[in-house]
Amino acid sequence: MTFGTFAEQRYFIYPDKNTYDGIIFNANMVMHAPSGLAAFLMEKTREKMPYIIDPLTHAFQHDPSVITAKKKDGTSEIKAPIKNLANVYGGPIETFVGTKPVQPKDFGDKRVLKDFVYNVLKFQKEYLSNLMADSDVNKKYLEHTEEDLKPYCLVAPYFYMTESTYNLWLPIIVDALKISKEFDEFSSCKIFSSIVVSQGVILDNDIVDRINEQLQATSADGFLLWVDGLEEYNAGRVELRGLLKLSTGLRNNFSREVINLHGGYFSILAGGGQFNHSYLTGVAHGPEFGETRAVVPVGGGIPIAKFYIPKLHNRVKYNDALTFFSYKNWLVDAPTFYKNVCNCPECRAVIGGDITNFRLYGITDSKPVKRGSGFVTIDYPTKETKEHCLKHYLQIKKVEYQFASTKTRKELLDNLQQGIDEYVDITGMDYLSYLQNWITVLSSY
Amino acid sequence: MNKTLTKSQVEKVDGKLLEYSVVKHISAYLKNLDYDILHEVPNMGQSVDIVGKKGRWLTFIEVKIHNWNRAFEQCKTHELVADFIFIGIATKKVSEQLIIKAREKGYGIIHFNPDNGLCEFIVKPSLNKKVWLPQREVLLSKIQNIKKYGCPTLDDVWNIR
Repeated sequence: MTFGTFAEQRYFIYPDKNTYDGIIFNANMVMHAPSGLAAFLMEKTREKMPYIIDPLTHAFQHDPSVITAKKKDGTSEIKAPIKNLANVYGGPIETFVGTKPVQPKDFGDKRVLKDFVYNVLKFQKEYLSNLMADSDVNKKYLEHTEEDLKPYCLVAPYFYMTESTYNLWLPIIVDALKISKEFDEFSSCKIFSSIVVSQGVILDNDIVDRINEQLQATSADGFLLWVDGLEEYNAGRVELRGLLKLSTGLRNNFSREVINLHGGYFSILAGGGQFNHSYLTGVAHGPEFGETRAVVPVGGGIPIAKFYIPKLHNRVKYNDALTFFSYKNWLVDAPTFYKNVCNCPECRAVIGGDITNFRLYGITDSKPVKRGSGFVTIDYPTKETKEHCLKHYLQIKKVEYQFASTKTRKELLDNLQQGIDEYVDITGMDYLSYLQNWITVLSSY
Repeated sequence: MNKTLTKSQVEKVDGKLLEYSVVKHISAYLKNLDYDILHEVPNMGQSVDIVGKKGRWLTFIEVKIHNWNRAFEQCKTHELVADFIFIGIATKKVSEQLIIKAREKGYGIIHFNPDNGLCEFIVKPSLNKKVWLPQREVLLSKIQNIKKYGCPTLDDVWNIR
């Protein structure tokens, strides 16, 4: 699961401490609060929880406005963790941070690239593991070495590739991977790269083939995969097939690991191994949010309480969920709800035998918010509402991962079809077309 | 609307009627019929243009100056809490399709005539029987709080001086 904020740290042992296979941190978060994250890993997750630090090197190739924050006086400055990260990474990153985006030609000198790669890998290997090894809890009770506490893998520097820039960045990514493998200091670590591409890339088979060919020729141990803003619920069949074509190539005869950094149930199914192969070896997301993410942050938006409907494998706005369940007469009593909607421990705890308590998934506070030149009153989910929705989501996600890896291909496809059959009379087919797309695409593998 | 308007400016901009004006006229009409009126009441992530309370009955009105199809989407959520649902419209002529669709759904239509400034019930709504009472209780408590602590007035909402 992807670590977002410290407020969410208690969910990394929810529903139980063995639920998650690993944690992914962004390097800026590591830079911002290394002691807190080291303590979190040592004390609030299971022992020796695998973790990966995403070095976030792509952050420096975008317009500097992406990595700056406005101060109270109206001027802008580079966000402190990003600036510190740039200082650690050195080279052109440090030189240009906040003034101009780095370009492929800035890494043309192999010595510059080698130093950059070294700094990026060293940061990942040591920044948290040193603090973890030095922690009181480790010294007193665990006595793990820094080597024991190193990340699951080190991620070579990488950059975001579009249809028009992949030919410029891909050679740098490939070289960075090759150089990563040359350092004795990191020879005990798995070396991954992160393949971050636009949706246009996965729509172009030739480009996907070229990327796969060049990366197959490296000795990478695995890849992180992130398609910019890909929403599995809105993606067409061509995009879904493109995602699987890219991941299949990266898997290189299913010998290498590929972790989708932002995936939903489609990716979970594709990774479950029931459709001939595991097209992904891991699927990550945040606690409730993060099944899709744009490469360049576009702001948080207004948090809306959403209820994950298990049969639809999708988060649905509370008012829509209520409309669906009401129409289907599933809100008449608790047993009917448990039978038809959800029987997870969180739903049982929230509803507690009294169906009127389903409203607790949608309680909001209303606040006037400036909108344009006027005001509107907007509903914000309460802390309790958010927690109920999040815990329900995590309960169902745990079930989904187990379901996808233990059920037969037919059972998995039937389950998707059931979602359509049960909801189509209230939602219409357009709303559910993603389930049909998933069935069609997965059936062809 | 991006700029602040005076009351005299507000009725029309560039010859086009504003939703604010229609909300204002329909609200006044309902007030005359003894409805207790609230504006922009938040309800499950949406904001209801006009809520009219009369005795124990709750009436929701979604106002549209165009694209009345969008009102039907919004009204779907209102079915969980409102006794009566109206679409408020200010077109010169009320579309026959709108009337048919509203009747199918059991929604009413209030028409504001921009030429003479008069409001009129075009279609009577049916009593909505799809209310989910626990959610209605949540809304009623929210309305009580709004009345107790105040909420932005229509002029605040539209930033009218």
